[in-house]
Amino acid sequence: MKAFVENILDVAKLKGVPYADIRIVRRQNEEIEVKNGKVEALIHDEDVGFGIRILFQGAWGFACSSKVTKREMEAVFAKALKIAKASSKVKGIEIMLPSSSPVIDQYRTPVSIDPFDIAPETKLNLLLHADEIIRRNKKVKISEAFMGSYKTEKIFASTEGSYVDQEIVECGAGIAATAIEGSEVQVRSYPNSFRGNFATQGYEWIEKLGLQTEAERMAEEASQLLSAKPCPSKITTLILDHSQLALQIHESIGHPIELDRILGTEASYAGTSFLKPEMVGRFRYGSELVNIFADATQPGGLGTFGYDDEGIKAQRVPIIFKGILANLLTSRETAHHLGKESNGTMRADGWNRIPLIRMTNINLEPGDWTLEQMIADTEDGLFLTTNRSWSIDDKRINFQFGTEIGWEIKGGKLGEMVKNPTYTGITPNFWNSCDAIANRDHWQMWGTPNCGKGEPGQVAHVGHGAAPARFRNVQVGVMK
Amino acid sequence: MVNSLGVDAYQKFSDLFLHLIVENDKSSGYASFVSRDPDQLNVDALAQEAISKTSKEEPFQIEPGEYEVILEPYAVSELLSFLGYLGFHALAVQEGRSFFSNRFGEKMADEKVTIYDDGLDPEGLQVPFDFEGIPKRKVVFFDRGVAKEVTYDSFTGGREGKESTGHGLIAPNTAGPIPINLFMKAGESSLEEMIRSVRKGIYVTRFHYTNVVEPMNTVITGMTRDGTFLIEEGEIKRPIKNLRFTESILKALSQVTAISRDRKVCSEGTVYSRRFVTGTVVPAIKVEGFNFSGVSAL
Repeated sequence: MKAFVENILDVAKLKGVPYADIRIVRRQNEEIEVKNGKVEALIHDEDVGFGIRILFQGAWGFACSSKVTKREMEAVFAKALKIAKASSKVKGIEIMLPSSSPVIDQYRTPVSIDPFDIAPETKLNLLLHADEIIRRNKKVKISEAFMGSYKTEKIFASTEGSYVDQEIVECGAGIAATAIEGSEVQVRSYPNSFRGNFATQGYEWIEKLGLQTEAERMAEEASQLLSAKPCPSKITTLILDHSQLALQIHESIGHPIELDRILGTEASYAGTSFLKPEMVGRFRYGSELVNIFADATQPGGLGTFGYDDEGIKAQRVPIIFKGILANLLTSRETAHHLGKESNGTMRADGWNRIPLIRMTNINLEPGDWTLEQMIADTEDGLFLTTNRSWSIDDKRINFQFGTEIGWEIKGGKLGEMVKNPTYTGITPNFWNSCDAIANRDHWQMWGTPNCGKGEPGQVAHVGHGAAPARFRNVQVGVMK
Repeated sequence: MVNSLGVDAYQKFSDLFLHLIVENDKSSGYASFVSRDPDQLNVDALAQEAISKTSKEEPFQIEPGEYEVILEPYAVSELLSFLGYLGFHALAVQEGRSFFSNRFGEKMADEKVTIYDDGLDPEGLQVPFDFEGIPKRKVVFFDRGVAKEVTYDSFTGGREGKESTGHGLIAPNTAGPIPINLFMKAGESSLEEMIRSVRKGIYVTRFHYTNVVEPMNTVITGMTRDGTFLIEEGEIKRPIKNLRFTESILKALSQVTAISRDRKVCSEGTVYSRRFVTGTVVPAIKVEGFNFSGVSAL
């Protein structure tokens, strides 16, 4: 493989292109889904290919192929160069890459048990057992369990002399109980909705998730929700559990800080951002308690890697420091807008896509409280957990979330369960209303395996660390 | 598509999809196009359509609340797609999680509302057979407002001793036979007439980032985007800041007061990273009392 790579980079240099890189990527995915005691899906797929990116006359060209041969690489190089030349005729601003010193390195996700070494039967047994426990509850009409294992082997090499070889292993699992009675349908999921929780860890992590241990509680909560009272409609104090807070961070901090989005390159898809580069160092995003890091080095995070798809080393970067916007997610091409170097966030969804700025692990630093103290300190409010729906506008200002379940807080104690909870707010107002964050004992990583961006579409796996946190004066119970 | 039961079906097709966003520092506009026939593409007209939604004027902030709305086909398409996913198919009905469960024969929408799926109608993105190789059949969900029938694949059909309606999706499909060629019957109005009939209301080009809030009540939430205007005394008066809506689709469809004669083929092109050829054929609609729950303003 190395000989192929060296050959194509030599071709690039001979053609006089100022910069070119190649990524060779092999991905394996295995997904298993069981429902009501039956195997609904067991998929194993694998693909391999390469993509060549060329900077020529201040514009990008990209082409790719699944035929990994020397001759095909040369043909794909020629195509990418043609595209770069065409792009340069309509370029807005000249793309410049600051010089970068070459890196030769390797990175492997540290795992004890490779999930691909575990037989599908073993995985099925775990899922079917959890699924069976859920169905013992008579009000539960749909029981589901899911497991996914992913392995990416990738080589990045550039005309600057970098050669980075990485293997990223990820896995995750989850269960869901759907209780139905008349026209009332309620779902409870563990450890998170939309298929569970995911991490760059080995199968040992799935064994520790406790799907079977929590199955009965999920079934019970789903059936209790059928007769729970509706979420009240009012302005109140909100305590979000860390899984819901993870998505709140994702949508209202993680996406708005992507510098390519800020510069407009995502406008025709999911939109832009209310942030501007000149707000860095000045803008009060949240209260003094709010500290956010983009941390691609966080062990086990779903957005953890060794190097990004431009060969930039994984970093831990302060994004919001004591409530003030301190930095943005950048690439080699965009970092100069901040007078900085790339903080290593460029990732592509496989070999047939160009890298984009993607969240790594966007983590909210823990505070000093215990969750119990936080609830005890709250006179009147709501405690919500597990995301059910999410929506945010094309500038990331107005959000609305729904969760699977909530409990009222009255006089410092958790009270009655509420169904169909929703809350809505304006991004900076919401983060400025944060007045308590739970401590490191309550802090954990959540994986978001379905982060969409770009056209043609790309899905990224990103992570969020969070502990439960409290927000004041939040509108809950939208449209009641 | 070939299988051991004797299915042997073949279709070769291509489609062309283009959408564009134009922006200035105050506003943005959108237009999109999809067709099997690339000769139908008129880039200038699309650019004009998108530009017509932009404005040099600072958008005005209005109070959330219930308003009369005119929804362009792009927005109507989104409503229909959510109904398709939530309840127009047999799996959702069989599992008891469809808004249609126990309600067939009931009038659930205004009598002007007829919604169906027709993979064979050349006005849409025609596909003669499904991913199981079964020929497509027309399925009517709402016939003049009355809940009528749902789509089946061979699996959900087998459970009830019914035949597939040709709505099987790519295996393994755990989401059910979701219809992908939705149509809403055209009405009798022109868009201009519809605007002229509004005393005070909101004109919506398109929705953004919609998601389900309460599936059984078909409550969804989302934002308006790329051209939201205040209509006063029958005229589009001024651009307004994007609004969040939180509303039941079925409630909105039971309060439809006018439907346009012209329909448009709408397709978002990709669902996450996959190009999935699915298109709705929908008119613009006028709805009374549509609930806006918030506004995008710092």
